[in-house]
Amino acid sequence: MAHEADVLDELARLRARLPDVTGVLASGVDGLVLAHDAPDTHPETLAALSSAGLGIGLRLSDAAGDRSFRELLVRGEHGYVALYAAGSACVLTVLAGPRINVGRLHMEARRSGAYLAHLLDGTADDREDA
Amino acid sequence: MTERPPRARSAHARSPRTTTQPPGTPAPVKGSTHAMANTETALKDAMTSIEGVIGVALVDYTSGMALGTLGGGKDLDLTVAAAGNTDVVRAKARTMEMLGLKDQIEDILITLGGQYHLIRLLSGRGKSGLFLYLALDKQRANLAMARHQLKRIENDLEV
Repeated sequence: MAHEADVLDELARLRARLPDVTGVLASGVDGLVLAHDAPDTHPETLAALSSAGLGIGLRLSDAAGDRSFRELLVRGEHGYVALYAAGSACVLTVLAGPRINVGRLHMEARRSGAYLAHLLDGTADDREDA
Repeated sequence: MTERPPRARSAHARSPRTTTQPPGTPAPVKGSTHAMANTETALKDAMTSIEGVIGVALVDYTSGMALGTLGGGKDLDLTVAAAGNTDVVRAKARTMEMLGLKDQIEDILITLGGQYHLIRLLSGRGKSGLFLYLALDKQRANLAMARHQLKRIENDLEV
């Protein structure tokens, strides 16, 4: 990918905007890491599982009669893992602590996902302040 | 403050649809269908009985997500307001904790050039961790009356 530095910049910006986020990772639908900023994790494993999670999410929304999968939120006792579809070939994975403001997480991560789609797919950048 | 004829607001403020679950936002699953109806009733009550209301939301500040919103329209995205004002409430609660104040927040008023934003924290069984958010048009609103009505709406609300 030609845009790895740009992707990494966007991941850093996302982390800076959300202090309760503990790690972010962008991976391809093939399960390979594009860029990550997720200390104390195993990015390759996360990327592979994110890809699998994306597949589950797609099939779930498909089975529910709606093919337009956007995101998947997993809540554990000690935090959240959120997956956001970012264009046709990428998934954005966000790890967050249990005190995260989920409303803001969605707002910021959806925006980042749209920007990653713009970087990787060349679709229009629809961020209002881009 | 001058007396205003009751409920003489323009139609646009009353028309927006109720969204107990805003599109694209997975609202937290809480309570039964009865509780949902009651949330809806309280939001409708706030929209119709308080003068100058622009929008109203019932927000869970443990997650930052809205249990229900009414009004707002394109000028005021209540989902964004819910998430942003969750940070306001959390910051104030944390400040009080650091100051060693053993007290509760009753409400928070934010005065803009053209609007009042009123946040009322709820208490009582099943209601802690929630706040009512009210955006008012400064020209049309009666602040004292709005706070009074909001207190009444809180007492009537069962989640």
